[in-house]
Amino acid sequence: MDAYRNFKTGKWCCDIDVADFIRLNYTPYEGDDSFLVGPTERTKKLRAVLEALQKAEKDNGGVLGVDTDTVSTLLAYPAAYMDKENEIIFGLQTGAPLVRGINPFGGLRMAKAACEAYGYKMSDDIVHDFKYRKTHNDGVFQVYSDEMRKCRHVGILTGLPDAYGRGRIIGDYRRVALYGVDKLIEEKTKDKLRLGENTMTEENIRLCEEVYEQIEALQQLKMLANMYGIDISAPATNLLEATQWVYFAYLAANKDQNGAAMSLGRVSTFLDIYAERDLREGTLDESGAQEIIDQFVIKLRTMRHLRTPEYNDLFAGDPMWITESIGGICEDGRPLVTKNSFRMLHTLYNLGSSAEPNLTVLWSEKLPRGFKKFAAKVSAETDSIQYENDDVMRPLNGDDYAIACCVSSMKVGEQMQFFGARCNLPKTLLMALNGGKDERYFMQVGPQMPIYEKDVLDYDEVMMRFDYYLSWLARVYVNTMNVIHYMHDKYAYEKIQMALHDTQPERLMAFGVAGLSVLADSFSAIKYAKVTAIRNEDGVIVDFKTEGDFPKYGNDDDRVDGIAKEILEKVMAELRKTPTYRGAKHTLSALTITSNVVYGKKTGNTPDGRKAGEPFAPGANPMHNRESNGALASLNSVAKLPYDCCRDGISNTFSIVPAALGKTTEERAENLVEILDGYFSQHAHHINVNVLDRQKLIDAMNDPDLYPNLTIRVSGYAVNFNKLTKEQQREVISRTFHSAM
Amino acid sequence: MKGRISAIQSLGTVDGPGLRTVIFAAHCPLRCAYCHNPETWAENGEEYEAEDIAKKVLRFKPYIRNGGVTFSGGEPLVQAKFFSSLADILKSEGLHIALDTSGNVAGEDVDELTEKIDMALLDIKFTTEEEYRTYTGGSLRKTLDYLGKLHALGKRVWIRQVIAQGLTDSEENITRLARLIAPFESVIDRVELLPFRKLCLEKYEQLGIPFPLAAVPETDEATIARLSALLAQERSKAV
Repeated sequence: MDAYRNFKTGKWCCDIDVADFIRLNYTPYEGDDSFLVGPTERTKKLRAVLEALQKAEKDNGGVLGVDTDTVSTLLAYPAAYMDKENEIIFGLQTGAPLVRGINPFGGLRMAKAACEAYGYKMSDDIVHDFKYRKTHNDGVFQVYSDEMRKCRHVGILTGLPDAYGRGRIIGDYRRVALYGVDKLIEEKTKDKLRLGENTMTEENIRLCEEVYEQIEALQQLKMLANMYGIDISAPATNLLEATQWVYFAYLAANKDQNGAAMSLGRVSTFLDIYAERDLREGTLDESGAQEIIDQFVIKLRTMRHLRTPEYNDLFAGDPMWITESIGGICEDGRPLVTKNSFRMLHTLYNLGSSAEPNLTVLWSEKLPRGFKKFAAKVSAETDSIQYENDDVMRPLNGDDYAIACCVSSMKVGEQMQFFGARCNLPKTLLMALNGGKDERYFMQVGPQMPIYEKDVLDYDEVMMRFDYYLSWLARVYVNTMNVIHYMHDKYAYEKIQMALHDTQPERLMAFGVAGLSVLADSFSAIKYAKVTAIRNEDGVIVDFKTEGDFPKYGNDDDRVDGIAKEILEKVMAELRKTPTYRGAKHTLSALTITSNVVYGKKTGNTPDGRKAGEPFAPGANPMHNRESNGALASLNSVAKLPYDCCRDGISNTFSIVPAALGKTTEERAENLVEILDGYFSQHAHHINVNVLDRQKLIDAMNDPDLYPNLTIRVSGYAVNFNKLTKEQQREVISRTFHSAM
Repeated sequence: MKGRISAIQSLGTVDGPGLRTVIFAAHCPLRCAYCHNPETWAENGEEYEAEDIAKKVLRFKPYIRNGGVTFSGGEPLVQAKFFSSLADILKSEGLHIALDTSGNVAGEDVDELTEKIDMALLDIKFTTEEEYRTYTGGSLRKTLDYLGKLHALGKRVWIRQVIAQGLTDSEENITRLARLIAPFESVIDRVELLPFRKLCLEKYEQLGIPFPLAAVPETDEATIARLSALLAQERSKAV
């Protein structure tokens, strides 16, 4: 059958250009959710299988099984099934559902430790084989300078992807469905031929080798599908095939890589084009369309990677960040909302609420009212959606970008990124006061200068010191990232994901900050209250006495919100001074995931009154319970942070008690739409919405069986509350829950 | 024009229609037994110019489509002159204004403010003069006079009453309430029975004031539902 029957032809027919295909062929949907249908019998049965597996996994301490004899690659495992009779989308990561594979390419030691953490032992064969193979982690640590090691040790740079897969790369998985693998191989082969004519510089040699690996990975992708009796060499001809093709490509990426965030991209509206054609041709009805999406999502919910306990501290709750970006506006002004956008959100009802996939609504004032209301309703009922501002991202990215991880936008297939974890801003302030000495280890880390000598801190003097140390840190930070990503490219290259990119993509290097609100409030305290340094016997400043009140970030007060803004601008300016590996563009985020707990633990007392070891607020959030003017004032403060210098995202997690949002479900949805419209109209970037009572979380902490599927948004992702450690649960509970007075 | 403000809550969804910014006036002439905001009783709070409060409120305008601003307290009518000038500024910005009041203050300034508001949330705290005096220190007659004024001006009204066990949860009370408001039904859009809650206990403890209703249990939803149904019935009878 002609795969392209009844499709409008255009540029996408000669070049690889999925965005062009979408623009020419999609059908916007401006109605409400009344067309949606429940799950089919097959889906219900498959859901029950998944839930039984998830329960077994939980009862087994969080990991159902590890295949300790096999190194995960595209073709390492035979075809495997969950419930062959009832599943319609095929493919599992390993030989059995929820059983985790081993991926030692990032680092052998970590892979071994991850096995052992759950009571497994990596086979001697793998250990033996990797004796002769250098890993990403080996490479990085051979090159790290003493200064880099020290920064890492004291925790001023933390969470660096030097011991785990960097992730954050989104393959354009849709290309496989639209073009079939053969066409993609053909294009890559042409690219390789062209590159062969260039001067063989180091850069060109590297790229030639990479493209060779990409082609090899595409061939393996075809073989992977063949194991399931499916031929994906040609384009998909209907919705079921298109979904299956996309899924195979995504599955292959997860067999090849265990990156920290393995995001899906923006597939819903793309797939809707096939759904609409099938519906028109009468080969599919609404129930059939929903079934395909439900079953695709069930498969996504089976994705797992094996992690170490240290990794879980940073990124708690076994997240995959299967981020799917939904909605947004087309460059021609039509909303990119389709019926499939609704179907994707509807999986939260048909399959129950869940942390994965990480459903992300690209919000615009121009989104149809029906979709806004549906998303808000789903949000208020499931706490499983996040929102990002299409109106600030679209002008920079065009209309075919997607979110990697939590808040990190990239043009699909045209941009990739080098993920850069984050640096600790409050610690930088303490180091600046102590002349480069760490306040916990008393170790000289930064450039040496005398410890700040006055008792009462002077704002201008302290700021001057901070600027100096920030400048130093930014340089070390960029250099550290350069080392990491050089080695990752060399020893753990994402061949299948990069095969689904343009051969010469634009590269971003995504830096991050942690503790923004602590730093802003600390500077505000220094400026508007009286902060006296308290020293230990060696004169090192280890604590502060703060007298008097001061403006706190989160109250829509320009005096302190301005400080937060200025800090971000400074960090970005400093980072830009050091060139990056492969000419990547510097970007910055205010996003911590759950690492705000670890960062806080590694940081001494701060002038804002936060005690040593206490968690920071996550992302760009105001510090817990310092917001005294209610929810909108808090949102206004965050909205002031400039996306322009923070293009890797500004994460805000917002929790409100149901009663404060409105009396009925209908009112809550209406009010939430107004809140989102108001927030995003001020160019804010991101918000996670939780509508729940603190007491519910306290009850869940005390008795996990009470709410086994309690999903909450944490910081750019959703998590099953029960999968957090007690410490992380306590931190989430201590956050501000906006309530009526 | 200066006024004393106890707090500003940027996001209110229960004090009037839509999303509302709620301004809590300091100072109240009543001492209701179940008062939720004892910190607003005294004549303290921070002093602000009406322009400065307006400036803060206008920061929340992007969020307001069907909502607006609610003057609450405390008793905003005590500072009627201040709220009147604040209303002028906010009205000129096109914001909808609701007044949350007991109606226990009268005078020229109150009349002027009343003309400017779009609607009132009028709390009829008790339905007999005696109970009203005993449990609030104020007067039911004044509340009803104010309701008459709202009616005469054609202002839309939401009537409210807190239902507390042993105080206002009797069926007779509900019947009386229906009768009291019957002459004014043409301006009444909604009558809300609010459950008595004890979330304010902590505030009382911090202020060192004994909470008079500490022993009274919170009112459950079933009671509210039952009495609301009764009220609807009685209102249709009374008309």
